[in-house]
Amino acid sequence: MKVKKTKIKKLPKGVTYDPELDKLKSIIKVNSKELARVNEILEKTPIPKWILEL
Amino acid sequence: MIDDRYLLRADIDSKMFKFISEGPKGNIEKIVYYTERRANIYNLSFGDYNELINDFDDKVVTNNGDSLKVLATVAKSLYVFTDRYPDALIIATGSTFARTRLYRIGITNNLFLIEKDFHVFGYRDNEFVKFERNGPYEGFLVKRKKINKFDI
Repeated sequence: MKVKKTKIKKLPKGVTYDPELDKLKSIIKVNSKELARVNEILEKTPIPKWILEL
Repeated sequence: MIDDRYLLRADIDSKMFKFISEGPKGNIEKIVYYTERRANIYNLSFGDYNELINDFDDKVVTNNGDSLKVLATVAKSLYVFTDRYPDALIIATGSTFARTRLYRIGITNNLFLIEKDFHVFGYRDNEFVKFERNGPYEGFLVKRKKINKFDI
């Protein structure tokens, strides 16, 4: 049976890959109040074109 | 300040990072998580990891006496993230007024260093404006500066 290899991008010094974080990412919840605030900002104020083009 | 930071662990996509803050309150696991809110626009979430509920608390004030080192570590994650996603815009708001103020102080104190590599904006009165020291902002937006080949 072929085992699918996970491609890991080269990380800089002081940073290591932790497969546990891949699992954690799928279950962790981000503060909904904070996300609501970010969504509110983005709905009210789209990022100006001049910033997008920087 | 930038060189004194904790070791970071990253997920496969370089969107989630974990590190351990060490201080008088003990070893505390911290999470930095970049989540996409719009195409190429990411929210930066930051808080203490709670192993019991597999969640993180972004309101807690740890007071572990290492805020500069923690800030430098979060900044490092921003470099790793934007190395991978150079066109990403990163937006951050504190989960509380006090935390937003803390972010502003952190940016202000390191603006000279941050601006070498990032465009920095503040959000106030329904507008994104160029970040100025001590401006009263509700949120922050950063974008990695593009490397000009003539600068190398």
